[in-house]
Amino acid sequence: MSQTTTDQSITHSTFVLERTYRASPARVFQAFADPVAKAKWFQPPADWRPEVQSMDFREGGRETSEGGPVGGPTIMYEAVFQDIVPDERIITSYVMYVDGRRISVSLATAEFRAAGAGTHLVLTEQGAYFDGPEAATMRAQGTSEMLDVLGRSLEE
Amino acid sequence: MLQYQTAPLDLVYQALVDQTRRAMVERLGQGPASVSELAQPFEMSLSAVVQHLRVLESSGLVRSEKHGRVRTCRLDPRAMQQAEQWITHRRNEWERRLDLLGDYLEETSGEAAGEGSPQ
Repeated sequence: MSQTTTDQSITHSTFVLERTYRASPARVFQAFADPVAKAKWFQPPADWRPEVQSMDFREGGRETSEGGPVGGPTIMYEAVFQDIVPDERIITSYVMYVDGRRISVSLATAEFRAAGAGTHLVLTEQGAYFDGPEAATMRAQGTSEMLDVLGRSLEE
Repeated sequence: MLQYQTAPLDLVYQALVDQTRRAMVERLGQGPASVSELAQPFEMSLSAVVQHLRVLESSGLVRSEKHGRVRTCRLDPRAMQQAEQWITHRRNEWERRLDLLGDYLEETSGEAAGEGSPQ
């Protein structure tokens, strides 16, 4: 009996982004904590519908947003603030959905480290990303398509 | 519409220029296989097969794991997986937003209150 890989598989990934801002940790933290300030920079791409957002910034509180490219899928973000240390740290766990299908479950840590008069912001995102149910078929198709393309290019 | 995210495409082309390796990749497209399963259709020594697999692994197309005495090979899901595209998207989204955060902090630096005496 041949083995099929139709089960949904998971890819884990961690990435770290860092920035230094000429603003105190208190100000940078406030840009995350205050919904009015956050809306000024936490924006969707230009070709997206405006996002519907809500935020209850406290440990155990939730944050949600819903939006997506115009004419494209609906992308939803649902988060829980797990750990908040004012001016220092925010840890959020969140789930993302594309057209109602869960696509990732992640942990995001934002650290606001004093750097002189400024702030060294470190964002660490650790996620479990769900492979789509059609992925096994795509993989098989993708392989043969890729080989076709390669075959053609080698014949030139 | 499939997007391939394999890095150094050169290595991929080098790996696939060989007929045997293409056949192996095609077989793995149907599911994982042990080294001996992969070797079956070919009249060549196991060490030659292993050599081919090394080239495929260094191209990033294939990865293998040994459990006990069996080495199982599979296509590296990163080569053709939606998840990888999503991860890249998430990262790029954050990069964009952090740029906007920088702009916001610059624009509001004159309005900062209760920050103590300016330096």
